[in-house]
Order: sequence, then C-alpha cells, then structure tokens
Amino acid sequence: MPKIFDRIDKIKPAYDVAYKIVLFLCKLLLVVDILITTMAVTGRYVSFIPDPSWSEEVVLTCMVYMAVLSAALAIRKNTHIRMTAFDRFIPKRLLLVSDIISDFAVLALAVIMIVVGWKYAMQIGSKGSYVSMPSVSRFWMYFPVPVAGVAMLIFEIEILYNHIKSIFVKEGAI
Amino acid sequence: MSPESMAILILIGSFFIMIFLRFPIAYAVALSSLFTLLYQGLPLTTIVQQMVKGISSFSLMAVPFFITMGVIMGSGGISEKLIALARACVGWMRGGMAMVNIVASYFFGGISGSAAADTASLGSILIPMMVEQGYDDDFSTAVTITSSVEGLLVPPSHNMIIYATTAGGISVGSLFLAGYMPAAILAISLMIGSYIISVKRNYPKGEAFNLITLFKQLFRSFWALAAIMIVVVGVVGGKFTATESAAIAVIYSLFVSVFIYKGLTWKGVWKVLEYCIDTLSIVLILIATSSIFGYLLTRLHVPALAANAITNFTDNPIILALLLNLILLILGCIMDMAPIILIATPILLPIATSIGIDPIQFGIIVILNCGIGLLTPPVGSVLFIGSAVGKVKMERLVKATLPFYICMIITLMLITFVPAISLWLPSLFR
Amino acid sequence: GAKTPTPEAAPAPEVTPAATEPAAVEPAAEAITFVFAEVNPLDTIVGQTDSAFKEKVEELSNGMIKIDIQPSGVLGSENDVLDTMLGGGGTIDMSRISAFALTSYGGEKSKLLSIPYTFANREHFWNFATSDLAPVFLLEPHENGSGVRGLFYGEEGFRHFFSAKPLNSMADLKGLKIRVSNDPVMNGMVEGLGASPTVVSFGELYSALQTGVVDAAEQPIANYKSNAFPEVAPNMILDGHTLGAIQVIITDEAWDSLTADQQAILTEAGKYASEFNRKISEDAENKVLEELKASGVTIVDVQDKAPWQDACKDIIEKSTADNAELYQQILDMK
Ligand code: NA
Ligand code: NA
Repeated sequence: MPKIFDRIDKIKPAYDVAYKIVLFLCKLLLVVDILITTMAVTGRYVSFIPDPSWSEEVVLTCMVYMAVLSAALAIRKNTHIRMTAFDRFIPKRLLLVSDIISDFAVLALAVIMIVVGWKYAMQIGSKGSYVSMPSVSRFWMYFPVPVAGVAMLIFEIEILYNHIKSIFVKEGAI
Repeated sequence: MSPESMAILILIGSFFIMIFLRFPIAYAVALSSLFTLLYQGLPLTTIVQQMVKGISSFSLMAVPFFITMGVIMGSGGISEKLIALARACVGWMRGGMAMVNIVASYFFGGISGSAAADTASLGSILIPMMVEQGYDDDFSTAVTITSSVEGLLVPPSHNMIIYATTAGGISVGSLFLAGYMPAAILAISLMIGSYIISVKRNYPKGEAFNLITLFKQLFRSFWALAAIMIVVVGVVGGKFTATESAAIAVIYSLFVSVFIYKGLTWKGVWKVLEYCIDTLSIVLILIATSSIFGYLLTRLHVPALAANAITNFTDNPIILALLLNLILLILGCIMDMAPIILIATPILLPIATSIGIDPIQFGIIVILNCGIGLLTPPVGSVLFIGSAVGKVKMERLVKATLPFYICMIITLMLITFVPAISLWLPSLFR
Repeated sequence: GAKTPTPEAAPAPEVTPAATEPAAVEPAAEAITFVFAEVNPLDTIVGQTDSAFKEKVEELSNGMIKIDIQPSGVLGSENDVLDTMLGGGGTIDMSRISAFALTSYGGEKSKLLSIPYTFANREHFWNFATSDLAPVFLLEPHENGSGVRGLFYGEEGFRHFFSAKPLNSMADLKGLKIRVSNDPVMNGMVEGLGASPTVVSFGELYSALQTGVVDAAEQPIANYKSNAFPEVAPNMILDGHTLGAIQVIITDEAWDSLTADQQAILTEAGKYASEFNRKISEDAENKVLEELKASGVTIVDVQDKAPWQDACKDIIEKSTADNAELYQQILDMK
C-alpha cells in the first residue's frame, strides 16, 4: 500500500507551485486595490492624475477575487476558523472521521461553486454590464466564484488524500 | 410546523451540527444555506450572488488595507518606535498597554466608525506590541475587539446614520452627540475590567515614569506618529473618507518603512504581503458566506418573528426593556449589524417608546447590542477578524473575552436604565 | 456590514410598525406568494406605492395572490436585486426599481428616461407614462431576453443638487466636487456643468459632505431629507436634472406561472398603483419642501432650465444618439 502513496506523493511539488501562483495573484490583487484607491484620492487634488468613475467597482471586484482565492489557500494551510474546543476529549480516530466528513462536504461545495457559479456568471454576464463601464460584462463580477471553486477543489483533494493516507500509513510515518 | 419554520430550523440546526462536527465555520455557513435553499426548492445561484454581494462593500475595503498597514508597520520599524513611545507613556502602569488600546479605540472611533476597521488597524499594530511586552495574546486580542465597539458609538458612525434614517425624524447630529458618553462609559468599564485582569495575571510594569525618556521617544517616533496624524487630519479635514484613509495609510507606511526607517526593502515588502493574505484568507470568506446566511434569515423573516415574539409577552417596562436587549443580542449572535437595524428598528422602536425610552437613547441601545453581537460566536465579523489578526483560536479568544462581555453588559444596563447617559449631551445643544 | 452604495438605497422617516410584518398568517391552500424587494422604507412615496399595489392585488384576487414586501433594502441594493431576478430568480419575484437601473442590463429604452433635462415637468412625464409608448418601454427587458417585465411606471420626484456651500445659480456649481452615482450619464452631466464628479459610496456620503471630501451631491427631495443631508448640506437648488422614474418589475417565471385572469389582476392593480403614485407624489414632495424651508434650508428655484440643458448638450446627444427618434418622441410629449 505505502508504495502507491510514494508514487502519488511525487505530485506534491506541483501543488507547491499551484499554491505559489494563487498566492502571487492574491498579493497582486491587494496591491492593485491599494494603488487604485490611492490614485482616486490623489486624482481629486492633482489634475493630471485620473479619478475615474470605475474605481469603486474595479476595487470591489478585485477584492472579491482576492477573498475567494485566498480562502482556497487557507484550506491547504488548514487555518480556517473552526470549533476545536472539544478536540482533546475526542478519540483520534473519531477526529479523523469528522475531518474526512467535513472535507468531503467542502469538496461538494467547491463543485457546486464551480457548476452553479459558472452557469450564473454566464447567465448574468450575457444580460448585464458594470454600471460605470457599460462595455465590461457583469460576468467578471461573478467569475471569481467558479475560479475559487476550482482552487478549493484542487487543494481539498490534497487534504483528503492526506487523510486517507494517514489511515493506511502508520502514524509518525507522515 | 409551517414550511417557513422548517426552513429556519434546517438553516440554524444544520449550521450548529456542522460546527460541532468541526467544519470550518465559513463553509458550514454556506452549506447550511445550501440545504435550506434545496429544501425550499430555490435556485442555488443565491449562494453565488450573495457571496459576491457580501464582500462588495466599499467600507469593508478598510479591513484589508488596515491589515496591510499593520503588517508593514510591524516589519518596517514603525511599530518598534511606537512600542518604545507607549512604554515611556504608560509602562509604569500595570496593564498600561490595555489602557492605551482602549483609549486609542475611542479616538480612532472618531475617524472610522467601524469596529471591523478598528480591529484591523489598531489590532494589527497593538496586539503584537502587547505580546512583545509580555501580555498574553488572547487577553490582548480580547481587549482589542471589545474596545473596537467604542468606534460604533463615537461619531461619525455609519450605523447610527442607518438607525436615524430607519427610526425616522431623528437628527443624525443629536444621535451623534448622544454617542460620546456611552462610549466613554464603555471605555471606563473595559479599563476597570482589564486592570483587574492585569493585576491578577501579573502583567508587566516597567520602569518609573520619566519625562525626559518620554520626550526622547516622542522625538524618535516622529515619522511613526505622523502616520496617525495623516489619517486624522486627512479624514477630519475632509481630504479623504475613512475607507480611503486606509489606503493612504498603507502608502505612507510603505514610504517611511522603505525610505526613512529602512526596515524594509521593496523585495521585503512583497514578501511580508504574504502575512496580509494569510490573515485575509480567513476573514473575507467568512464575511462572504455569512452574507448568504443573513440573506436567508432575512428572507425567512427571522428578525421580525423574534421581535414580534415579545410584543404580547408582558407590559412590565423593566422586563420589556430587558427583553428588547435580549432579542437584539440573540439576533446579533447570528446576523450582521445593518440588517438587524433595518429590520428590527421599525418593530422594536414603538415598544421602546411605549415604555418611555427616547428614540435617541434606543438608538444607542441598538448600536451597543449589535456591537456586542459582532463579538459573539458563531457569527461575529469582529471576532473573526480579531482571531485572524491576533492569531488566537476562536474559542480561546471567546474565553478570554468573557470578562469583557460582562463589562459590556453592565454598560448596556446602565445605558438602558439611565437615560441621561445618552440624552444629557444632546439636550445641551437643543 | 454596510449598505451597498446606491443613491436610491434611501431609508426614510417615520416609524411604520407594519413595515416588516412577517407572513405569519397561514396562506390558503393554493395561494401564491411573491417576494417583492424594495430598497426604500414603506413610508416613502415609493413604499406607499408598493403597498397600494399589494393591497389591490390581494383584494382583487381575494387573497389568492399575496405580495410579501421586503422593504428598506434588506434584500440588497437595486443591482443586487436585479442580479438575483435576472440570474434565475426564485428568491425574489418582484421589485420596485428606478427605471434607469435597467440601463446596465441592456435597457436602451429605459436609459432615455434618465437623460438629464428630458422631462420639463411632472405633467410631461405622466404624458409619457400613460401613452402607448410606455408599454413598449415596460416590455423591453422581456423582449431583450433579460427575463423580467415592467408592470407600471411611477415617479419619486425630480432630483436636485445640494451642497454645504451656497448654490444660487448654475455658476455656483463650477469647480465643485459633486458625488453622483458612477453611471456614465450622470458623470457626463456633472462634467458638463463644469464640476468634477467624485466617487464616494452612498454609505460614506453624509460624513463626506460633513468633512468636505465632496462639496455637493444630488438626490430627490424626499431622500435628501430622510437621509439627514440637510444637516450637513443645507443649500439646495431645484434644477430638477432628472425625474426619478420608477417601475415595478416581475420575473417572466413568476408571470408565466399565473393564469390569464391572474395576470389581468396584476395589470389592473398596476394601473391603480400608478394613479395612486401620481396623486401622492407631488403633494408629498411639496410637503417635504415646506418642512425643509421651515427648518432653515436655503432652497433656490430655477426659472429657466435652458442654460442647464445647454451645458449638458454633449452628454445628452451622446447618450441618445442610438435612439434619437424615440427620444424626440418623448420630448414631443411636453
Ligand atoms: Na465612529
Ligand atoms: Na482597541
């Protein structure tokens, strides 16, 4: 059994790269948000700096992308807030079962976010545009949800795999 | 049982079950909403729509910006100077840093009006400072989140404007004036609470007060203090709004860190942004998914049902006043502030006025109750932000906050039963 | 949490205990309930219009069609509500929106109603709203595949500029930082008047006016008062740049679920509510105007709107170019 795991484990570097890419995107979105907001404020007082009417909508959309993408990172790091107060009273085996249940549920949620999110973004995207930018489809406002669904799915699979591996591989070997 | 009650039961029931099964709260909130939508035969697109809507609020932008500012200040040498200054000011006093935290929130409340922004900004500077000086992280975070509620009461306060316009015929100006004293009483009760805890936990007491040291540190921290001045002068002087000030503060602290204190290189800046993302990755998704939950609670008329439950219960004014608080507190545990104010005010205000509570005083009561709700599990945005910024597990934080909940409840009772606390100041300007 | 920034998300005065009465009464066996979103409180002009519509529908249908009005924007801003209704509906069946909200959902016709200085007076608007052209406009979102249709028109009064600084004439607007919603037509109008459009979210507007981040803003009179703006910007000039045209919309899904008789009931109730709105809105607005004057707000009337219209010529022409003929038809209804 452990041999299979050894083979699958070779994929881990790919996961590290995926993590780095998503992290890079999140940082970039944060920087863009800060710069646009600063530009809009400065533009009010300095005539050659623009104070565009699209700033608010663009800043908010960037924040949505950052919020949902970074949440996928937190899955991999296992930093999401959860109730762990009673963990020390519960047997380890049971904790593992509860972890697997919750991870499957999150996996299902990720799939729903991909399927429903994509459908919704396409549908509203074909009908509406940004208020401040009539030429930009509203698709981009909701596209973060399926994108984040994909990122969640990727990182959640790794977590689930690690759980299953820990059933077969003796503790301490992980 | 009507289908509506069944839907409410599914929504809240499945949420609690999943929390006890140790689901991440952010996803438990989304999944319980999902089950409810399925039960009601409603389209799942609501999840997508509400998630995006939940984060698409401009004033929420202050949270990521202020967290970034705090991280840059911490790594770039600004916080260091502020720590030294604070030590010179209040180091002689047991629990002095807790006092600084509480007083700072009172003044910062005069700028932001948002408890979330207060926790994000002051928390990301002060919590590391306090831990550095030997305070426990859970205590430091608890002080930060509870004192951030002052910001909702000290004007300007966006939520007060929402209340004033919902309650009708109330001057925002009077309501603003009404907030100063209750906020001060809240601050004092929190200070007493944290002093007692500081003595009990034997928190540090540094060297004796020395005026020369103070001036020396004041001089040394000039650039650090200027960061605070820029925000204050910019907002009060009408150069930018509170939310925008957060972005300006980031740019300024970058400038000082890289060019003046030279504690960070550009490469270093890019690197420390990872800490910001770590914090934001926990907080923002919670705000996004809680929005679905809140939307369903609203659509199922939960606030109205809760408020109506007490109308025919009793006509004893004292019990009614307590029940009003109780309803608001319970709603605060599961819902965000603005929807509670919007939905509950029209129902509860007539009850309040019928037992002699002035609409302005009731406004303060509503704001403080909702403010406490921001700090209570299972759904409390400021609690989540505090937990992420202070890197303290939620249940540890809640435990550390318990004594402060008591301080807040005492303040709440004073405000409920002593009208003058709220009404005296506005009466002077009438 | 903050309210989403729409100039229309305007809560208003006076308490209405009935405002959020839950659907506690058990519905009859086959009664249909439609969830109806409203961004304003029930005691505003538009809120009262919604209630009139609801009561008429429930009366005409003997309670077989119920309208569950969720006021004060608790279900979201206008754009949130439209995103919900157009993206598969289900949780919201009907809504009262400002007519121009459909502009960013391909509403080429509705856009014409928000062009500055189109309607000379109320009479002019109602000539349009009761003309044969109105149903064509109302059906546009159905025809273009948005999946909703308009039931009837109403109005919530003209929108005017107000400021902390004195506003005595058009010249006083020059160089001011004016907060308008972020749609291109409004921005073009402010630029035309020689001022600079400034982005500030509606939730921060009160503070922004108080501290001077912006010098001026614009709202209908009722919203100006109910949001306490007179406290921080007590000068108003009645230029009436646009008339706040409103409409009630229903999703095609909800509409198609009704029998022809039931659809006729909605149409009938719509007619009634539209007339009701016409009757109350002018009186309500005059009453608010008197109250504002009594409380010390400086209100300056504009006798001749021609120079204003002239200043905004560019944006008017640009925004109506695609539908010039139709726009002329509206203008001719004066
Ligand atoms: Na404040
Ligand atoms: Na604080």
